[in-house]
Amino acid sequence: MNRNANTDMSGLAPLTGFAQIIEASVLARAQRGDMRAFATLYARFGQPCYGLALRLTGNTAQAEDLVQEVFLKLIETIRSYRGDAPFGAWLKRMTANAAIDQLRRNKRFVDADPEAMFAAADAIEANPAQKLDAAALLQRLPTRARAIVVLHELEGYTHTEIARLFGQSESYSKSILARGLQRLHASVAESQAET
Amino acid sequence: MTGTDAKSIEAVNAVLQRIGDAQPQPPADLWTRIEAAHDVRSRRRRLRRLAVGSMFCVALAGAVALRSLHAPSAAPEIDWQARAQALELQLLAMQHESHTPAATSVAFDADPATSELAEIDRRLQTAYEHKNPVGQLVPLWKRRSELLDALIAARREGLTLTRI
Repeated sequence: MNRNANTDMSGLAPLTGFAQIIEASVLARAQRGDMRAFATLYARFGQPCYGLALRLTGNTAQAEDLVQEVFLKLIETIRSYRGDAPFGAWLKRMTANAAIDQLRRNKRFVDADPEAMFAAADAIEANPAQKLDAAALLQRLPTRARAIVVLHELEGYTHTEIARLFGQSESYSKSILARGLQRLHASVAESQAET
Repeated sequence: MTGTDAKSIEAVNAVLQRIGDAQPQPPADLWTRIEAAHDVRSRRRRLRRLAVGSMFCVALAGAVALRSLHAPSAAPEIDWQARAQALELQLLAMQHESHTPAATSVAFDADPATSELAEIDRRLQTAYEHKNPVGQLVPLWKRRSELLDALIAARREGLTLTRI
């Protein structure tokens, strides 16, 4: 049975997001600098890339900038892609790295002290609508905590990988994740109590 | 774990699930913006390369101009010593054919050119004895070549060289 390139092993469920498989011919054309091939790559991976950027930054403008930065970098570096990992995984890592770099560049988030980070987030009062919205609940977390929760809980990154990305220890990653989840619990409980 | 805790964990998991499942769409014109940004970057890179290339060409042209200013004679260096020795052999051959006396270190007081030749030979001998640097020997070998050239030309025409 010929399995469609973009379905799972059973051949039934379509592969989505970064799991999509890209045809070798498209990659080859992109590696030769064909902009139409890059447009195809964007059509397939623009959305997952934007989704991840938005989850990590919590800000649409920053997410758009990130996607632009990632695709510009992709155009410049695709020749170095050797196919050792699936293309989607490579692009996902590139997106996560770009997001973390952006967070690290932003002086407001350089202070990695968990206490200061969570205290600053506490000072921002959420409006009633935000308390009900899943994305807004996540957004109420400090930026670094949100990024760590997303990477660990949704993207499957290990603490070792997260620690390397942030230039911190594994225990730092574990501590921020625990506090972030605790904060989410509190926010959810609060929103449930109010409704 | 209390029932409330379990409920809360479940709710958080549901929140995370909703966030994970959400597929927010990027703005429709984002790819157009990326293409435009790529064009701008490419154009800037080309301009930068052009500027660097132009600067390199200007620097190269300057270096060449400076070099030609400091070394106006682009002609290959002449080995005056070898040339003088070759001319001397030629002169000796001419003298042998015409049975005229040799024009080297033997003084030809009657012929000013051969006298000067003898004088240069003496100065060369002294320079070699004093181990003078090559830079001081070259002008002597050059002058010797010029004298021998003139002597050969004069002998060919049957003239006596008095001054060159």
